[in-house]
Amino acid sequence: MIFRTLTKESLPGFLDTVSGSYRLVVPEQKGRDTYAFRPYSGFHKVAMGFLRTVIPPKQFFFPPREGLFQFTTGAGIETATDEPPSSIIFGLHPCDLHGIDILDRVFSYGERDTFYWRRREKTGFIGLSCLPDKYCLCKSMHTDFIVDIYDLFLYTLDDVYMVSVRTALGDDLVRLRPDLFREPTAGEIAEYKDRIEEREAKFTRIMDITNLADLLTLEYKSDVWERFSQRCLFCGSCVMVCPTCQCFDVFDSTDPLTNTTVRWRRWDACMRKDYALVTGGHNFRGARPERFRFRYLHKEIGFAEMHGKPTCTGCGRCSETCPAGIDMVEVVRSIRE
Amino acid sequence: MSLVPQTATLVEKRYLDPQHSLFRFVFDDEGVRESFSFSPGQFVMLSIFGVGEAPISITSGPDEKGFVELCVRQAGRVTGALHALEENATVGLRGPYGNGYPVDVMEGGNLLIVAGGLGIAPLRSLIRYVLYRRDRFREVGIGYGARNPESVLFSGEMQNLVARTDIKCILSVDSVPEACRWDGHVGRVTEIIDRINMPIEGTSVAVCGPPVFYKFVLEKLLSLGYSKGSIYMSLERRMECGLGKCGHCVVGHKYTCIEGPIFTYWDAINLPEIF
Repeated sequence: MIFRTLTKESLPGFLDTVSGSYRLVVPEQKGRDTYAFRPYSGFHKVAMGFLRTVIPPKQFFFPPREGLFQFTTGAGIETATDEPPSSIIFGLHPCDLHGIDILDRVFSYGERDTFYWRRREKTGFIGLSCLPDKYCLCKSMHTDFIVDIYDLFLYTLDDVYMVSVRTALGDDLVRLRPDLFREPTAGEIAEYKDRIEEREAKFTRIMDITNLADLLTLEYKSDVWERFSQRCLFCGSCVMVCPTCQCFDVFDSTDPLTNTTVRWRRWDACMRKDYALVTGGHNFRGARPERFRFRYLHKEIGFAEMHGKPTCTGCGRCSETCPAGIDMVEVVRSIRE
Repeated sequence: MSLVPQTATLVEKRYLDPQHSLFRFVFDDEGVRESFSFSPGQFVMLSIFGVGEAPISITSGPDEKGFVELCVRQAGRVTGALHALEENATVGLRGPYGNGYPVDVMEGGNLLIVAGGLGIAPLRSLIRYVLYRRDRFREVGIGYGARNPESVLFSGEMQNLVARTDIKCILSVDSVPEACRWDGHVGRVTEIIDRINMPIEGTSVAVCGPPVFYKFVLEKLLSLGYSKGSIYMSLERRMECGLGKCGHCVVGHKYTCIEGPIFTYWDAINLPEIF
């Protein structure tokens, strides 16, 4: 890892150059307070102050709906042969980079998921520092900074970005415009340190996750689950916007004219009523409190047992998105009480 | 590629009873046909193109090369479409998935197999495994319970097992309709466990059947003194991938498709949401 600085006036020129060699994806403003990752169409569209997009970056490796193969009598099974483009996603905050790290673990556990990795392997990441709002829980989840996954990371200072160059790909990007980067000065290093402290002070909300896996296990039969499941609409919004939820459903559709069947997979949500329903009619997780509880247990315990850490990245999307106003902090607090 | 099946041809469809048939498939690709191998208790994802995919236990034995047999009940969308297929139809198969029975642990000891109804499907694979290497096991007992003589699956094969002297196999039915001939036991499957009378020490027990069957058989086995760690169950869950990713088969904190479907009773009762 090496550090360089890039002046703020130089960033547009740098991104213009990157977009000439890679498919560049950046955060753009969509609605009044909503943002989305979109293909780069000029620096004026880049929402530098954005905090979170509605849909997390998982969509680029694990699309909401994707065709896996097609089958036609005679031709048999055919899979896509197109090469995904080399891509760079700009503007990833530490929580989203942690989310990608978690999906990497899921999609490489056991048999590698070729559909995820064919895109993931061709994507590089430029991280961007951020300041928390009232939904951010990264500090509580220990995902407020990151030391891997990214290729370049831009820390915003007054006049420049302090740029961490972590990988050879990051170095390749810097070398596209070596004229824009220089060694950090002692003053910039001091400013970088001050900014870390300033950011620390801005976290207003803390979710106490000490011994949370134990508490969730001990409170397995708590009426907290019943209480929250009364409010939950089971719409699955929290799952769709979650950077680490990766459940999917597999189904076929057949074109009646060509008789070609396409096998699809699409995002699924564990709180859906027939999620654990099997042929014959038995539902292993049919009741509302069970379905509500499962998501918390899987995030905090199940995944951690399998992959080594809990899956909540504290990005705040679920709390901001929930139409019933269910806030994870409130759920966890109720379990602790 | 993950999630993409191999095409296979339905070469034989053997009628077992109005609800169940045994389907024999041969992979179309010669290389896959030769290299496909599995352990008893593992399953495949079966595709009926245009309808969908479902997890099905392998019913043939691992020593029988060149084909895969699945014993399937006509119950849902995919299995309904499978039963409607004619011989020579093309399906998709991928796998094998799951852990299978721990045959390396079972070998050298006694083995008690207890099946109820369609639970015989994965256990037939284990039985065939044992028949191919009978000398590696000490005492072998098999108990198979069905509703009535007509619903005994693989009745010819089962009768052959009953006739063997190196295996103590007893068949049991809940009731015998009038004008139906039946030489086996009539009553509860738990009663034939007593009659098979296997030693408790050094015995592995493989159990598979419907939920109510598990309830009574497990109670019985525990009352006889079998350790929860020596009883192996095969769990059923909804599955969409078989690879520990789609999430549907999670029971408690474990993926049935990779850490199961075979769990010891001890592991299973420590999973929340087991039944």
